[in-house]
Amino acid sequence: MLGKGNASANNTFSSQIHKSPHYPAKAKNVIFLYMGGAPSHLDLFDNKPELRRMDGTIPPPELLEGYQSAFIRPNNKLLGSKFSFERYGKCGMEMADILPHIGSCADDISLIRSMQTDAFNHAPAQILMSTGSQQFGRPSLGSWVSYGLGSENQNLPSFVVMSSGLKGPSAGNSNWSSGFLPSIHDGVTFNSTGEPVLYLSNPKGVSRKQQRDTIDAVNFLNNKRLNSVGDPEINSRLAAFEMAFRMQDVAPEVTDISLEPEKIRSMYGAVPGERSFANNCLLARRLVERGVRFVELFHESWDQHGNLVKGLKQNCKDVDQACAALIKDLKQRGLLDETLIVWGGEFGRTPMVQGGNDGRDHHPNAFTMWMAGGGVKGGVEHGRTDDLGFNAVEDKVHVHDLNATILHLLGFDHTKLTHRAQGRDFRLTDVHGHVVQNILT
Amino acid sequence: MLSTFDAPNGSVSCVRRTVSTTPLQALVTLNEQVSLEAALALAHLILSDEGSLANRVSRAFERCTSRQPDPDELETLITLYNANLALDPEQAKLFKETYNPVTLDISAHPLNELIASATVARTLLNLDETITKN
Repeated sequence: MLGKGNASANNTFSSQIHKSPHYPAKAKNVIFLYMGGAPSHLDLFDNKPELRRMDGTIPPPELLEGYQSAFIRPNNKLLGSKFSFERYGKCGMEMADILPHIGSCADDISLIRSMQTDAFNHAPAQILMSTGSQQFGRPSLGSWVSYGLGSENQNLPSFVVMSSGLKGPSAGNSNWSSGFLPSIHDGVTFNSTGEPVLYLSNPKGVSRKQQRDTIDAVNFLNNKRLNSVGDPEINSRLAAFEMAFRMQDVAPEVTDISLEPEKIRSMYGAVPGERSFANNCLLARRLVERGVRFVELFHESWDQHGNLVKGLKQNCKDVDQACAALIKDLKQRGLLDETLIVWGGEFGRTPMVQGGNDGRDHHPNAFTMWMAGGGVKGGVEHGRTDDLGFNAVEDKVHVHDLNATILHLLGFDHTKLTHRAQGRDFRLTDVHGHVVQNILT
Repeated sequence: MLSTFDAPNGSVSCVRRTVSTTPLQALVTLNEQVSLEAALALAHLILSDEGSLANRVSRAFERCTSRQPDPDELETLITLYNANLALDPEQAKLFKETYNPVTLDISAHPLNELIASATVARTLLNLDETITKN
C-alpha cells in the first residue's frame, strides 16, 4: 500500500521522509515500555480476593481442561497475592500499593485487564507482541510505524530501542527487526551504559572534511552500484552512512541527560552514567521531543518463577517512579496528547503457585497492560478476568487487537497498512485485530 | 562491535540470523579503532605497491571487491586521494601520534601520502560491495 520497495536510485532516502497516515492521527509518537519476562497481573493490577480466599487449594478441574503451562503441573495449588491493593485517582482505579506513582496517574491511564496471547514461552510471546507472529522474520511494530509515517527528524533514526533490567529481551533483536520491510526501518539500539551511541567521534587525526569526503565517495560508489545491480539493501546502506554522519553532529547532545535540570532528573530518578530504566525514560522523552517516532524501552526483569514478592518490589522500585514521571513530564510539555505510552509484558502469570509459595509460572490466558496519552482515555478500566484471574472473560483484548488499536491511534487502518513480500501482502495484524473502541478519546 | 552486527546470543540456538543495516554499523566501520587500523594497512599496501597511482588504487579496489573498478569509480578514488594530499597540520600531527601499528612499518611513507591513501582505503573498506557478499 505504501511504497513499492526502494529499488530505484531516485528513491534514495525517501523512506526517511515524513509521510501521512490514512486519516488524521491522535498520536504522532509511541513510547513502548516493554516489561519483558512478563509481570504478574495478579500482584500488580488485577486484585482477586477470591484467589486469596482459595489460597492453598487445588484449582477447579474444569478451568484446567486443555490448559498447558510452561513449567508447573497445572494442578498446583492456588496462590493468593501477598500485596495490598488501593484505589487511585478520581476514577478509583485499583492497583497494588507497590505502584503508587503509576497509581497517581490513574486518571490519565486506560488499564486493560483482559489481555490475551497465544504463546506461553518468552521468545515466541515477545515476537508475537512485537511483530504479530510467533515465527521470526516479520517486521516489528516500530518498523511498521517508521515505514508508515517516515521520520520527522533527518538527523536521528525513526525507531530507537534501549534496554535495562537483568538482561536483554529473550527474543533479542527480532523484537525490533524490520523483517521484509526496507532495513532502514530497523530499530536502532542505543546503549544504556557508557555512551548511548558508540563511535560518534571521527577517528583521531581525521578531520571533518576528510570524513565528509569519505562518506561522499562511499555514497557515490554505492549509488553507482545500486544503479547497476538494483539491490534495494544498498539504499539502506546509503541512508545508514548519511544518518551516521548526521548523528555524529546531533546525537552527543540528544543523549546527554546531564543537560536536563536537576529537578527533572530527580523526578525520573535518573542518574547520568547509570544503567537504569529511569535514565532510558528520560532519554525517550528527549528523543520523542526531537521527532523520533517510536522509542521502545525493554526492561526484562519480570520473570518471577520464584522470589515473587522480593522481585516485584524491586522491579516496581525500578520502574514505577520513572513511568509516572514520563507521563507527567510529557503532559507538562503538552506532548502527552500526541505521544502514546504503552506498558506491559508478553503474557501474565499463573494463579497457581510455582515452587514453595513465592513464584508464578507463565500464563497466556489473561494479563494486564496499560496505555496513556495519544488519543487514549484516562481513568478507564477495560475488560475483566474471572474470579481467579485465570481467563479473560469480558471485553477480551488479544495482542492483535492491541496492535490494531496502536496503529489506529497513529492514523492507520491496520487492514490497509501492508507490504508485499514473498508473493502476498503482509500486515502487522495478519488476518486478525479489532480496534478497542472503548479506550479511545 | 559484534552485537552491532547482529551477533546472536551464544547461549541459545539460532535457526537464522537476523540481518540489519543501521547507522550504528556505519559508525563502527568508519570510526572504530580496528577499522581505522585496517584502513591503514590497506593504505600501506597502496603505497608499497608498484606502478602508477591508478594501478595501485585499482589493485586495492580489486582486493576489496574482487573486480576491477570502471573508469568512473577509479576517477572518484583518484580525486579523493588528490583532494586529501594537502595536510591540515594539526590533524596530521594527531594522526601521526595516534597510529603506530606494531605489525606494520609505515614510517617510510610521506605523511600526506599516507593520510590520502588511508582516506581512499577507508572508502574502499566501507563500500557495500566490500562489506556484503551479495
